[in-house]
Amino acid sequence: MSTRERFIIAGAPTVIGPLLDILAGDLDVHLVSVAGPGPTPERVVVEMDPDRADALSRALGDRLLIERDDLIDPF
Amino acid sequence: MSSTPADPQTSIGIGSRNPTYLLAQDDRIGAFSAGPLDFPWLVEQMEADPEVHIQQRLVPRSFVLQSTGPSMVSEVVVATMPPQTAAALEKHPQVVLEEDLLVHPLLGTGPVPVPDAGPGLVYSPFGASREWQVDLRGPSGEPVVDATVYLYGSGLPAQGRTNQQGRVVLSLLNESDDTLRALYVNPLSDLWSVWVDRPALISGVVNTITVPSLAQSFPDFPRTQLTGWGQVAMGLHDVPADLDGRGIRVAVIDSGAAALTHPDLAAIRHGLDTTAQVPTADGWTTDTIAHGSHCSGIIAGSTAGGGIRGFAPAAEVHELRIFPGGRESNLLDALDYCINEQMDVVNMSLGTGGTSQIVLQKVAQARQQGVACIVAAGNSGGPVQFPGSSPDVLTVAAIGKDGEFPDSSYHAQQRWTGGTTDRGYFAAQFSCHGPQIDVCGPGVAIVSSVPDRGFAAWDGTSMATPHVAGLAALVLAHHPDFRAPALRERTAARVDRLFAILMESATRFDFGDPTRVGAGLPDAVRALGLDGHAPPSDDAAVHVATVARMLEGLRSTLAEAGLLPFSPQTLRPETATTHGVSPGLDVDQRRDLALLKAQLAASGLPVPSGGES
Repeated sequence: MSTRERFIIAGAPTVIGPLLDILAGDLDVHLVSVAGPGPTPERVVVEMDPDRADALSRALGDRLLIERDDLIDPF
Repeated sequence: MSSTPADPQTSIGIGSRNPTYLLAQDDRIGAFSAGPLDFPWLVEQMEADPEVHIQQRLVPRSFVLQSTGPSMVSEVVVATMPPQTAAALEKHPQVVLEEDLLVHPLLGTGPVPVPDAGPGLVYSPFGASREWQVDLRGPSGEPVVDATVYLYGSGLPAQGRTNQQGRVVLSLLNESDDTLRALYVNPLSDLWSVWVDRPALISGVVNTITVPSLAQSFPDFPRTQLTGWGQVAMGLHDVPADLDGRGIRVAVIDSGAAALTHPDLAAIRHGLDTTAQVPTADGWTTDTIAHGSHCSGIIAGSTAGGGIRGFAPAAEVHELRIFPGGRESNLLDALDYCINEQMDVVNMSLGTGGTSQIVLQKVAQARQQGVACIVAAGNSGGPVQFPGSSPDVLTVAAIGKDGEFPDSSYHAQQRWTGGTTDRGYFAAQFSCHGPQIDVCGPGVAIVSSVPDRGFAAWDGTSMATPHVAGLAALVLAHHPDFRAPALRERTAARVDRLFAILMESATRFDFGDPTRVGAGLPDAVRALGLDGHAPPSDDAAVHVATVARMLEGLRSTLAEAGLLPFSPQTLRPETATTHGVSPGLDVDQRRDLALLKAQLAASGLPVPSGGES
């Protein structure tokens, strides 16, 4: 049974925009938030299967940064 | 009112158990000038000493077998005694004295493995449980409510919170009165913490502890305003009151702030709550963990009578709430706010052990847009945490000062014992350290605001960072350099010049490891030019600061890669431009350095000459 994890996907708006359209129609991906002005998003936060994130990174790794949305702590 | 608290010298009511020692005579070791040891006579003296309690006298059954080793011991005395008595006994060369340490069964990977419990620590659910009842009282006998109490045995500590009567009951498995290792009391507000090694608690009875108050150390506080020891150490008390940070925007990325309830935070009017599903403009006034309130008080503590004195009480503070539960995405949202709303200084008392290229790029973007990020190094005692490890921020380690807290408090445990003190200051043992440390700040026993209207003394690089962020706001507001056209614009040069001023103003410390303090403790008088030193010319200041910052980044990278020894002398811009590379490099290192320089040059970065030959 796969579990979703949170990832940040960042890149140029010309890449993030079309990617958003694709991810929005994917039932296995939960869109958490979008950062950047409407027509030019620069960053999205999604919940998806880690294997899916790996595949996306391999396919588009030179045009996107995909990282786990890790917790941070107050010091 | 300045700091230098009067140590209440108040008994907290619970002392430490004396340690248990194993004592024996080894007469194969020469007595030298001490003369031969009369062990039976020594034992008689111990029996007569009311502070020494002999528990057992161990005599080997087979004297012959015991005499076959490298040394011969005829009797071992097991006794509890004060450490100073043990130290006196140990002076005789024929006395063998060791602490009677607990030993533990080495279980296999048992049924209850505990994550992060430390190497080798696994716990069996079998055994007898024992309870200790602790009553906390304030100086006037009032119950201390909602204090967190930790009781340490051999494994994970028991933890509880005192009720309305100031009482908590803690239970541990397979422990006894004699095996308790430590007791830690952490009150919510207005009281000092308490730490007791080997607490003399008794199971089955009420153990009452009197917790000293902050007011006992700072008379008439909070009615009379307190200038904390950290502000005094940084010279804030010598800065005229009209230099108050007016016109500067400071963002605190944290847990919000109790601006609606706490008088010291009442001037804070702006913020954003990124923890909500959709970021809201008002949730930031709820601070459930008090961290943001504490940091904000150090920066913005009101001057309107009483409470604590902040560095920049007239700065426009924006609270960007990302805690509790903050993720890197929340931090990115907060940094976007700082860039879009043109914050001048950002206080980031936060981080993670991981790293993020996306966050690295964002802080680099912030610097390019003239946003100065001041970041805590971390509290794990190891390498600098992220994003403090970024070259685009100013990273702050923590120091403490003797005499600024009661000896019975937990703050007394924070001294880094691997180093030395310097003029009464010490490096904090919890502070992360390394070549990325730019400066240090006061981070032990820092008194500041907590919800709803109280004050608490906390430790952390989180507390050190707002000291530097607050001073940064003062420098931007009042240093003449930032009236020059080139530095009024929001650029990386402005940020670099600010960081250079803070580092150049710093008071140096020698604790035995320069990576624990960086350039030292920034000084407000020097940083603001109040000591009479003329600032450099406008264009020269911009150019020198930018080049110096780049060179410092290159130097840190080389030091971290092991290609350059870390040296505080290379932190100053003037020495950084004249000293290329340590002459101690071998051929391979010089070749590696030449290759690195070529790569940096190809990226368009200026690279110092020299060092390869």
